[in-house]
Amino acid sequence: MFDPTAASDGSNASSSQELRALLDAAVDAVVVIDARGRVETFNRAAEQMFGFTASEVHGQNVCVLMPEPVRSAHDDYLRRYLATGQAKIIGIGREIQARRRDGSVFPASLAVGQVAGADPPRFVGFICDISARVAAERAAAQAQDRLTHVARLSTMGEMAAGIAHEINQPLAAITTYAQACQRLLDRDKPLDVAEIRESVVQISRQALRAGEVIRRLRTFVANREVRRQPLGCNRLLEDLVTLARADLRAHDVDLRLDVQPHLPDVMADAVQLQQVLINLLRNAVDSTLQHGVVPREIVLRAVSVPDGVEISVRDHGPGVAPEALSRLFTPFFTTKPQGTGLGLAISRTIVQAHGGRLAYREHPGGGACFHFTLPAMGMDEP
Amino acid sequence: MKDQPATVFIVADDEAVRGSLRLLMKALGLPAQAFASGQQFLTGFDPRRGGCLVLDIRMPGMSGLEL
Repeated sequence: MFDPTAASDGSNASSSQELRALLDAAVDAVVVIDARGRVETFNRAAEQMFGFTASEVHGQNVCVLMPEPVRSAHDDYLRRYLATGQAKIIGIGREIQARRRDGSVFPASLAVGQVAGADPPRFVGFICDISARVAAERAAAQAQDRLTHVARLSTMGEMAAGIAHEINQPLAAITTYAQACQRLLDRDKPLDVAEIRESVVQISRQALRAGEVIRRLRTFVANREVRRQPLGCNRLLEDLVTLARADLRAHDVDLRLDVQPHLPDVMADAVQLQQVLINLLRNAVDSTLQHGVVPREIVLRAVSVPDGVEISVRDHGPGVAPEALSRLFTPFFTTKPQGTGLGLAISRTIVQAHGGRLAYREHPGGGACFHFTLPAMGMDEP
Repeated sequence: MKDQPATVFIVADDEAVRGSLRLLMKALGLPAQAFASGQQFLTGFDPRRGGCLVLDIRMPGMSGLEL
């Protein structure tokens, strides 16, 4: 086999020059190494990508192009392959971290082939700098997170009336208990200590109750990093219900819980899942109000299924109109006069990121039913 | 019957609100009776007893104003 970097003469001269031209015209970096990992060929794209000249790396171990920990391990990889013939990267290709001459690291895709017939073996690697793609993906993910957060704020704005009521109730109780205590203390009659004590206990309890609503509210509207962690489904739903009940009560709609005890843990971002459920619940409320549906009740159901936990939200309304079905999850599609058309689209994206799929079905007993399944912990993500 | 003092009828779905109002009435020396919903009040109160109503406006089912 030819060595394109070696000086050639005679009939090989023109084909060698042709190959040189091919290598240098290539957009990808092309690096050929010998069986011990020493660089034999380093094309122009490689020079530009890594900041080394071909003469600098020629004969050097290819691991100079890699950051740690691969840098130290590469010789072993190579030896293992030569000994076992088991390819981990050859013919497969993968995304890797590569290292420039100045020590900076960038993401790259790498495809490796073995030079046919060469003995001792030689390997050729094609490296493509994918920093731009990775950066674009990250930017897209960040934009999605911002959008999700804005949607959450907007939802919370719509829920403000219900939430305010939920905080006002304990505040009203606190005020009244305090006034009652004042009266009791000002009276000329002997004090009933038990009565005063009970009032003070209540005052403290109601203050905690109001604080708890605020805590959940703040968690919900905070702009924080998306964090998926092991999460008990029952706990998640309990937390949700405080906010959701407040909203539903404001519209005089009942929330019925059909939640199986001891559901398995799921890997999830609690706030984002609450956002999905609140979206679904609010849609159900809107449909119930819009169509004057009886019973004014929404069912939140969570059951264990073979592939995880199925969560569904069902109302007793007329369901989704057939002509709206196909566009249900399309951004900006809405059937509500004040709707943004983002709720279901964002919800579906969130559920997808959790390894599930948000879908719609008409409930056999009538009404719309939105449902999704979250993979239980310890199960492989699809 | 006429001698019975006026009763304060409290209708509120929130237990804490209800409890606090009942205690306040007691501190003021007024007889009070509390109900958790408009429906409960309508079926449970004694119409021969005079008095006044203290209503929670925002309640599930029958609102205070409906009552």
